[in-house]
Amino acid sequence: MDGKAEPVDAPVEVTDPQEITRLLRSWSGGNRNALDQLMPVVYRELRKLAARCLSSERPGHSLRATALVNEVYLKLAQSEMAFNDRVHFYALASRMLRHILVDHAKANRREKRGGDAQRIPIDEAIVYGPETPPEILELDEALKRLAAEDQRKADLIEMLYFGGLTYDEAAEALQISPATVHRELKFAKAWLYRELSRESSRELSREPR
Amino acid sequence: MMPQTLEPNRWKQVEGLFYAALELPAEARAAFVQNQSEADRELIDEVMSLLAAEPAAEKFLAAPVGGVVREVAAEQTLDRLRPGGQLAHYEIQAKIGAGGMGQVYRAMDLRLRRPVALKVLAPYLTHDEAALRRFEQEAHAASALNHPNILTVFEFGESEGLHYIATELIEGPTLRSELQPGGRGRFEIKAAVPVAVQIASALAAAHGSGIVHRDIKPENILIRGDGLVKLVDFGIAKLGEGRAGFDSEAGEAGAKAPLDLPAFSARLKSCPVTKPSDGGSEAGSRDGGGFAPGLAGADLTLPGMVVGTLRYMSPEQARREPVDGRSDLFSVGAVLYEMLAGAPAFQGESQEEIARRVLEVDPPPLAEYGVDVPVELELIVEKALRKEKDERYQTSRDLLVDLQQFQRKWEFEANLARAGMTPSGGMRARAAGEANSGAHSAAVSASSAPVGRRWRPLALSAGVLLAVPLGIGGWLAMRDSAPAAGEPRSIAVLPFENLNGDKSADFLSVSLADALIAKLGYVKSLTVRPALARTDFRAGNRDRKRIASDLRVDLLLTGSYRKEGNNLEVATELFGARRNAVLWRGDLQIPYDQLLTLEDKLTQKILGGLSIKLSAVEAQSIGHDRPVNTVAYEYYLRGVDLYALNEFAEAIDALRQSIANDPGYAPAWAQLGRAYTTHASLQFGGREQYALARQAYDKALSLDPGLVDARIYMANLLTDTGRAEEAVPLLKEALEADPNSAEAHWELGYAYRFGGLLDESAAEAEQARRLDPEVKMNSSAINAYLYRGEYKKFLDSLPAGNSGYTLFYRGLAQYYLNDLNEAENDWDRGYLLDKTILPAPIGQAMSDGLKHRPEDGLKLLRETEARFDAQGVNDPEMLYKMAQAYAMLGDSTSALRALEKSADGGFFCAPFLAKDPLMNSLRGSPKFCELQGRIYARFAQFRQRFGWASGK
Repeated sequence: MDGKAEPVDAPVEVTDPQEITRLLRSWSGGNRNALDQLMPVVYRELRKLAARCLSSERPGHSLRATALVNEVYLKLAQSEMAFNDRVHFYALASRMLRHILVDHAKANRREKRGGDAQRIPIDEAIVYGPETPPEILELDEALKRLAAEDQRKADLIEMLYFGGLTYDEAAEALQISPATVHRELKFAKAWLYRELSRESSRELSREPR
Repeated sequence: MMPQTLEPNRWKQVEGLFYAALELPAEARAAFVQNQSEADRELIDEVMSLLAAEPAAEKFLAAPVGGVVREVAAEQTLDRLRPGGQLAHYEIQAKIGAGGMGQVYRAMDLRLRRPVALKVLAPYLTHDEAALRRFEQEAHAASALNHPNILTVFEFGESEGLHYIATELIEGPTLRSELQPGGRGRFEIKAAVPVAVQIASALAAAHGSGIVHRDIKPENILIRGDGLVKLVDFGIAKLGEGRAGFDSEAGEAGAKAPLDLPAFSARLKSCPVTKPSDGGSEAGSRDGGGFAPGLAGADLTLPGMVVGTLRYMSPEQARREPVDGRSDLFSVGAVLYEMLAGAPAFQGESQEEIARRVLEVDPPPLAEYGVDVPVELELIVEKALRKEKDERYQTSRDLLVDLQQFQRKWEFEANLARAGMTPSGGMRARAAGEANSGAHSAAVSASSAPVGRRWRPLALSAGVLLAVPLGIGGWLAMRDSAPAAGEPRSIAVLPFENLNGDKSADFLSVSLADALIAKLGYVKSLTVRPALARTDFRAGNRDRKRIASDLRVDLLLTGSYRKEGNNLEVATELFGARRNAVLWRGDLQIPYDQLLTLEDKLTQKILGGLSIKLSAVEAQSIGHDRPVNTVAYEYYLRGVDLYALNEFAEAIDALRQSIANDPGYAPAWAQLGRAYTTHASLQFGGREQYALARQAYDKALSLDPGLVDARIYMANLLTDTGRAEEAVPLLKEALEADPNSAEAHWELGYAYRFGGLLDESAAEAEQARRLDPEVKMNSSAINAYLYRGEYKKFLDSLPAGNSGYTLFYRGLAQYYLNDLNEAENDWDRGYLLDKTILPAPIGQAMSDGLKHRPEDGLKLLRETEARFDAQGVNDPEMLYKMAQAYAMLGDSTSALRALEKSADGGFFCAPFLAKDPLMNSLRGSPKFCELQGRIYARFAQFRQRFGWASGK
């Protein structure tokens, strides 16, 4: 549209909102292939946006995760898209966003060579928040372990925490009832919290005083 | 180490026990798990450790990454909150406000049939315990109080997942909006004191119930139409056990925890002297450096920064020490001060600076703002604002009593004064005449610009009736109803239409109209609005009434011409919008080689048709063009046409041809100068062309000292080359000769903005746009809006199209508004569209910053800067933008260098510099302080000479 050259990493360009809708449906219907086509587009758009909010040039600037996802959504998809299609999109974007944040944290860690690798708290990179958030790489590792035990719970956390989906949206995306979301969330959070506090030699600063 | 994955059954087992145990009271869980696990030690440990983690985990990951909100999405799904929707027993009528916590709606209580304000907690925050607690607290604190000056809470509830507070509905602005430029600005004493009295009264009630508000600020004070004040937002109020008032409630620090003192005092970043003297005329000034009351610092900070409250916080609260009621009294003092001064008590360019002032610096005496405040009132404010809480008012009751006492005395003496009696001693009552003194500045800013149209009665005694041979050429006169004597009439001249498509004569379309505009501009009883960009008439839009109303004129001149060989036929029509009819029309035939007589003839016809009598001066001005040779004139007209098309290089060629044919034609020199100037500034023409421009203007004025256009154009050159002080008088002269010259008003606004007189600048630019909505539309915008932080207004003032220039500025405003996507997009497009114009690479560099590619941006900036230097371009305003770009990309050294060039080049817009959030990273460095001092000093002088306060 704007005549700008696209980066070369996108093999096939999917930009037509209708095509995106179709792929989303196809994916939520179980077609793994559709996801492969969607991912690069969503990933690239998110990256572009995320680069900005991770940028240190604007301290205090807060581009929120959900705002991000929403922006990408508005950019790529049709606004009239059905609710459940949108939910799937958000779920997908949540995963992408998690990857982006993890990549970023890894890159940062590599940069600081030597033993005192700096930890990148998620929210510090993205937004100012009153509660000290967990370290993103630790959380990511813990989430992977959780997924090995129970994929759905890991997905749930991913959507709520990385994508900012509401409980209802997450329920819709996972095809479970909101009550189940509440229940499972309690368990998943307790499990993660325990994992992270066990792992961390120091006390997590967020522990209630 | 963690065990490997549990087998699925085991996992289910753990999960099941966990859920079941959670249903039980905490103390019963251990026994239950023991009991159910049949001495399976590992299972017991697993479940118990999860149960132990559960309470803490509750808050864990509560806020999605990024604190989050999905207001857009939430609003889409929340139909209930649309007008006509229903939440519990409230019918939503309209959204009336929004804040960090959620939205406020006007709603109808369907049970009690009464209007309410419904504050709804943002849905995403319902998962955030802290937010929910705060929301509840607000309801509880306020509902514990029953006081006329505290917003009454009707209900606190939840419906289908949405939490809400229903309160009484107050239709009225907040004190904040009243204090802003659009509101009443500074408060008169008789208006300020009652507000303070009512807040003190509300606090007396709150403190008496053991509640400290902790967030007294203008945003939290509503003023109903009849003057009743309501204190709102007890969201971070502290509910104590007993009376609030004394130190006993140590412990919990402010829930807002504004800042970490050691951290910020370690990096105090302010200049040692932020308020250089400007020769003792400080009183009454409005735009002093960082002290511009019209520029609330908070309005100019970038989104996401923690702002606002700090300004009204007591020192102990800023230090995060325990607070009591006396902290609120300090805040009341700060609010009262601001109402009286029209400026916050504690100002600074950064949070750190504001905090430092709150902690250490007493606000300047109110007299410094030109306010005549009785000493009693000054003492009250001063006592409320003591840094040491023990020296302050000890209870809100004490403050209330003092305020009320003052109020009674003041009103009494005001009444005396009104009755014509002199009050004896005590208060120097100036209540009756206060509107003329205390609120002076506010009145000035609120009233329309003093520099307006200056209609003059026609100089009939010296007047000559321009003899018009009616009937020649078949003119048909149908007079409009004659306007009352001296009543100005406004006319727009549309581009002429070339009827037979002889392309060689296309240039006449705009240039003929332009020539008429220039001539008619001398007639003071006629306001001429050029409408050269209105090509839609030619394109077939014949709705002249509509066009006239768009252009806000009552007369519309349209014309067409046909060139055949050496024969030129021109047909003209004058349309009167009031009568919605053609007032007269006429045809004129002249040989093409007598083209230059055409404009004189047309002018005479028009004036004749309107029966306008000219003064001697006007007649002379109109007739001053000496005869000129036809070829030179044709080139001249072509040059004017090309300039209007932004073809500056080509315009220069044509005008030079004109001069080659007739070096004595002054208007050609003036136009040439203008083309050079624009080319120099916008397209890297640089110092060479500035010099040529200067020569051309000198030549024009030596040939014809009365040539108004030459002065206007030259003023632009002066401003661009750092001599705004010389530009202003020149433009004032030009406006004497032609008060309705849109371009003169525009250029005056341009000079003003370079010198930091932003209100004056905006007023001139607005006047220019009123006179001619298209004036300099393609190459300039009302930047004063941008510099005053009025981004939306600025965006509205930009032309709709997408020139490289427009795209750059739109990007900048969007950046300030935090629409980063849009900003990046516009900057990129601007650069793609036209790399040759100056702002393009600067915008691109800023965009690179957003793309997280500072290296690319810096490279581009350095190249551009080198080009600036090599060519000798001196657009100091653009250099300022360059400094901003450098600062954005993190290169402070270069930013300071560019800023210095900009200052030396003559852009000394001190009020903007003082508040520009893009400069925040530079503040505090010695170099920045030095530059700021220099810029301020020049600005202060400029203001003294030309500012509204200077009385001219």
